[in-house]
Order: sequence, then C-alpha cells, then structure tokens
Amino acid sequence: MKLLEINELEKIMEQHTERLIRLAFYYVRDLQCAEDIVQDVFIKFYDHQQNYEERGELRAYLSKLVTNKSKDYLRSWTYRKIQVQQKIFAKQAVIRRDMLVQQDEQALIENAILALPLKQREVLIYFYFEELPVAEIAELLSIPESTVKTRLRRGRELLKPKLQHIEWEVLLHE
Amino acid sequence: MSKVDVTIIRDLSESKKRVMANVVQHIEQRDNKKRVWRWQYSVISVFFTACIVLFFYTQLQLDNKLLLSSNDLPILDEDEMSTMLNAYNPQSEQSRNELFQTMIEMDAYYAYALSKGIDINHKLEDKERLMSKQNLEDDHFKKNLANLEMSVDEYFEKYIEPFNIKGSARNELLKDYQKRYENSFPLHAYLGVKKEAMDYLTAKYVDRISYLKKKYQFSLDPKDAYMSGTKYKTGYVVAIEGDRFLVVSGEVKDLIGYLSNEEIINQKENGIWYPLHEVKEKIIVGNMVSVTYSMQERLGKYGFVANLDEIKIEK
Repeated sequence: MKLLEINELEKIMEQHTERLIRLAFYYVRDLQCAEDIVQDVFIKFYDHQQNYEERGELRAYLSKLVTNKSKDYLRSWTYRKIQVQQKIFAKQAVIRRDMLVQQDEQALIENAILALPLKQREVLIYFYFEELPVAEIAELLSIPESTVKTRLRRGRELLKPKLQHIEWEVLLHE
Repeated sequence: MSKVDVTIIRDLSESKKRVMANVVQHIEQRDNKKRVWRWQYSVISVFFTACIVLFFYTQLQLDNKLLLSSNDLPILDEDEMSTMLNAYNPQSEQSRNELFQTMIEMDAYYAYALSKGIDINHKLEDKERLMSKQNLEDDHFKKNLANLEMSVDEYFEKYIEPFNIKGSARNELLKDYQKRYENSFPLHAYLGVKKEAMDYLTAKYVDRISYLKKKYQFSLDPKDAYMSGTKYKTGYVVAIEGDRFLVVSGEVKDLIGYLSNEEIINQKENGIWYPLHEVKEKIIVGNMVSVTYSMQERLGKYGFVANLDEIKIEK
C-alpha cells in the first residue's frame, strides 16, 4: 500500500479520535490514560502502516488496536502502580460529592456498566454503545459467538440490581 | 459502584485536539531527531564496551545481598528481581522496563528514608499496605507462581510485604516533603520525592544498578517503560511558586502580574503546572518555553498538573 502522509493521518484522526478515546475509556476508566492509549495507537498505526491491509475496515482495525492496548494497560505495572498511587492520594483528594447528584440516567447506566468485570463490560460496550452485531464482537475479541451471548446475558443480569429504578429498555426486554 | 464518572467523556473535543496535536508533533519531532542522532551510534558502541567491562568488574563484587544494615530489607536484590520477573512475566520490553523501574524506585524510597534517619514501620496494619493478598488474586498470576513452586502466601510474605514496607517509607518521605512544600500538588509531591530518592540511590549504588541493567537488559529511562504518553506544549512561564511553575499558551505576556494565575488559565483556556526542581536555575517568569511532558492530571476546567520530561527555553 502507499504510505500515508501526515495530513492523511490527520484526516483519519479527525474521523476516529473521539470514538476511540471513548472506547479506551470504557476499558481503563481514566480519561488521561485513554488519551495516551489512542495517541500511542495512532503513532503505531503510522509507523506500521504495512500491517494494515486496506479493505475498508479501518474502523475495526483501529478498534482492535485500541482494545489490545487497553488490555495491555490493565495488565501492566503502570496500572497496578496507579492503583497504589491512588490509594495514597485518596487521603489528600477533595471528593466531589455533587457530581453524583447531577448525573442523568444515561450516565448512571454507563457508570453501572463501567463497574462490571472486564469480560461482561467489553461485550456490553460493543453491543450497546458501538452497536456491533454479535458476530463482529466475536471476531474483534477472538472468542466464539456463543461466549459473546453468554457474557451479554450475564452482564445484563449483573446490571439489573444496580439499575432497579431506571427504565433502560435493554433490561425491560429481558 | 465505580467511582468513575462517564459524563467526562460527553464532550471530547478538547481531548481530540490534544491527541491529534501530540501525534503530529511526536512524529515530526522524532523524524527531526533521527537525522541528528545518526552520528551518535559510534559513541553508543563505545559506551556499551565500557558497560561490558563494568559488568565483569561488578560480577566479582556481588556475591552477597545488599543490606543497608543487619536488620534491614535487602535492596537491588537479584533474587527478588528474578522472582518478580517470573511471577509477573511481562511480555513486552516496555513492561519489563516498567517492572524494573518500579522495583528500583521502591528500593530508592527505602534506602533514602533510612539515610535521612526516618523511622520506618516494619509491622504494617492492613490499611497501611499498598498491596494486599487480594491484589494477587489473578489466575494467570497464580499459574506463574505455581511454576515457581510458590504459594500466594509465601510470595506475599517474601516479596510483597517488603514492597509494602518500602511503600510506607515513601509515605514518610511524602510527609517530610509536604512539610517543605505545604501546597504541593500530590503528583508533584510524588515526583519530587521520587527524584530525591532516585538521585540518592543512583549516585550511591551506581555499580550495582549498572550490573542489574546489564544482566537483565533493562533500562532506567522512563521513556523506555510502558505508556510514556509524551505530550508537547509551547507557551510562556506565567508563574513560579513553591515546587512548581505554570506554562500558558497564547498571548499572555501582558496579563502576567495583572491577572491571577487562575484568571489567566481561564481566559486562555489552558495552563499546565510542572515541577520546578530540575529547572529552578534555568527559567524566569516571562520566558517562552517548549515543554515535553507526561502523566497529566486535570486541575479545574482548563488546567492540568503534569510531569516535566524536557524543556527548551525559546526566548
């Protein structure tokens, strides 16, 4: 393939950056880290363009890179260290209690999903927020379709008690 | 429920601008550097030769564990390093470097605190532990421990509890630092203590560290560890206070001294506080600077607190 110029990379970033930051955030639950992950992914994409076979699947390809990088991050020592750091700084931080009061229902649903274990969280994110069909989620995560369905079902079960007072259509149809 | 709040990802236009600018700047600066760096390959090969000589020299000296005194924990310990490596089994070079850097950092806190005569608690309560046994509840991790013929309990007692004690040394150093810089931001207090401790350790145990770096093929440069997330900013030094300085981009020179720092940040919709220690003698208010930085944390609507990697004074 012809190698991209920087201005062409900028066009791609213009189109995909916000979506990818959101996707990374759903994994790592920290905006700064999500930005760093997406930044690294675009640099990696630019440096290893020959690995991408142009078949109109750029969206899926970038999503896969972000997913893998986010999972690497969750397994990494940085993540463990940040957790340790937060334990120290928690005593010094000012807690913004008013935040919870201002949350709308959509935010409550998304926060509840963010609190789920990773296995359930990622399939719910792809299914409801990215609106991917089960087959595509299975391919993206390299797991069987039946596993995607099981995790979706289990995720919805875990959400129900947390969202008792919210009429989220996904749970109403269960 | 998680403490995370998703409303911060409703509007990502600022994040998008930052990421795009950083990616472009990173690629452009790197390409420029590549041209400048080629002549330095020969210097690097001389350096590696010197390292090999140093390696054989230090090997002769490192039969025993390095104990600071008879009752203290070992530091820069090969046994600990190789067990941690096998237990966590980091896959990439970046992750290996990161693990190495974390271990060296924790040893630095411990050695530095002892050198300052700080009393370190060796019998910790649960709430004082940075890592508990629950942190080790991971199937992948347990499998690695089984390969080492070690139980979680054994691993915790032998390696994690010393890690926790070294963490308590850091807490004592943080308290000491915050007495000197009362209004320090937590990130800057952490970076300040880390710098002091690492300066102490790397100066005092230079041979031992070189030996470990060589033996395990590690790097101590933070840029070689995972997720450096380098960012760039050009702007004016608007304020210098305590252990930090503030850089704001845009036409701000005429505002300095007339508006408060917060007012300037809000008016220009940007502003980042960096740690001052490395550059205290180099910068003054009004300098135009180009900064490479990482580890940023939000402070208010438009402000950030960050680490400083490099700084260039433009004028």
